[in-house]
Amino acid sequence: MDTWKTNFDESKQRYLNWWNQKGIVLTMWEHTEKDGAPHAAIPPPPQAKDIDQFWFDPEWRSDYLHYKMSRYSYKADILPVANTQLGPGSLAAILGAGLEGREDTIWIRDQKDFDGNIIWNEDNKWWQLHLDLLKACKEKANGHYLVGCPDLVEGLDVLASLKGSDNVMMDMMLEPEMTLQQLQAINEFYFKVFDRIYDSIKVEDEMAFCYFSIWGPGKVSKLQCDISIMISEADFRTFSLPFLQEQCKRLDYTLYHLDGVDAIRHLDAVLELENLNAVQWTPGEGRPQGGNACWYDLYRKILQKGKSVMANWVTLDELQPLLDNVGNQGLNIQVDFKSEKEIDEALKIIDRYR
Amino acid sequence: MSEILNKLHDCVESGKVNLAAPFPPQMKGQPGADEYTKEALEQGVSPVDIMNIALIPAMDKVGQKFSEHKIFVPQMLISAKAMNAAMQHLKPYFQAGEVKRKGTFIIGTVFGDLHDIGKNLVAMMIEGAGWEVIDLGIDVKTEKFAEAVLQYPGAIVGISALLTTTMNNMKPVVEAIRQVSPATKIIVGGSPLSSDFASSIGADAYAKDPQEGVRWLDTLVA
Repeated sequence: MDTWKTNFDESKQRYLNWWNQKGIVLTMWEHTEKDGAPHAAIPPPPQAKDIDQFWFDPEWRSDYLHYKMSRYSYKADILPVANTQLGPGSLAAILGAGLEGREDTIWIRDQKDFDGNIIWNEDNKWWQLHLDLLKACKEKANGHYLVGCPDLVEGLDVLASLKGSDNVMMDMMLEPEMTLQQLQAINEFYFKVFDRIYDSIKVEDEMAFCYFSIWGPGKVSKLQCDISIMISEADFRTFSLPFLQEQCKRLDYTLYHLDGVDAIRHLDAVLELENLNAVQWTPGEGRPQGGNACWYDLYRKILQKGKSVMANWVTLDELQPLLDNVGNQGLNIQVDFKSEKEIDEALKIIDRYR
Repeated sequence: MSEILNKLHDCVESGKVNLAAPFPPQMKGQPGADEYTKEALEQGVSPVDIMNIALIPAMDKVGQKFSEHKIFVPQMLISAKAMNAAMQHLKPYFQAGEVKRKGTFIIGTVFGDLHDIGKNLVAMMIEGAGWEVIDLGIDVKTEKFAEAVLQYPGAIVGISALLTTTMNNMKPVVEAIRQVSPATKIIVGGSPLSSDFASSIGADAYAKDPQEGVRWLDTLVA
């Protein structure tokens, strides 16, 4: 791989260590621009005609990503990964829901005519878009960077995107058996879709996942159940945990995205997942973010249970206290870097703990 | 409370919709809110008593248990469904003016935001508390809120947002409503919000959960 990340081998080792509850990874959500000349003289694409072209035109978007990737910094453990995300939970679109591009994100729209059957039609236009986008990006990447796996999502969150959160929760009460069957079907399609995507984006049997910047040898994914903030612990164990467990067993490296203070009541169950490697903590809108001292106990608990931690949106002044209090083993720290100077400042702190 | 109203209250509180409903398992094969409301009316119980003695107190308990994390959204939804089954029988009495609503509540998720579950829960609980609810849906433009306020004079407005990016869209909505109807009361809610934020955009109140919203609305008609 002729990568633009000059220290990729070193970062790969750090990721491997981190997945195994060792050492520190220092990275960021997405990227910041590098100083000096770009990695290659890639021209910018013309301005997108509209929002649909921005998100859903594989040629335009791959040109755009190629241009951006040529200008990003890959210092510290920042990954050379093109963010091909097609909305948070694009598996739902592959299975029949809709995608709607907006200025800052892509929304998943319920499948209005959902009849209860979970079907994967290979002619589905959003599935074709996944394939076309990944293919176009891979060709342009030419080994300089990885093409990330879109944020497919799974389980209850996908079912909610297909038939609406209200309906899913009502069916959990009124039609539990049917709901479990639908979740099983979603899981089966998840693996089929994931394997196809893996085959199209892998480089030397390694891959990266768009959300939360994770890399690993083999199959790597972020897992989640955002709808868990609305359900009881018992329902989480019935309707989510068995399917998450299957993912942890079948994928090589897995990170659980724990989203919001109301999701913390499910942490004990999450930590019981065999083969789950790490837990990412998102405090939620309007809360102190990942480097705040109020989350140290949460991180210690995760580490004590043999899982690694990912702390996001940590600020530079929070780095040292975080490491002093939580330790230097099994931490993936993501800082919202604005410049390479800030990355260097963070590295100076981190290196003292390595 | 009469026996039938007691049973109706229990059905709504526990989410027993009708005879055929399999939930809750311990009430399987028993009549639900649907049948008991019909029976109560046939027995001559007044629709006002059905509302005030059975339905509203039952939903109040549901809201309270939700606030205390004793139940979660699915249980709340199923109670609202049971309440709705009962309300179907009361519709003619509302239309005839025999039963009066506490007022009208207009609700919508602010423009740019497509989240609906929080807004739906609030709408259900407020309807269950005896208000007429006008649900404008999600991604509601400023003008639509202003038009609704003109269409329903005296109505109270609820605006929902789930993201820090979209909560900022609430301010122009509040301003537009104030422009067409300065006296309209406005309450806002959603995960990233706070009472300070509500004050800063000129809203009258902030509710951290549906029950708090119900309580605030009740203070306006007390």
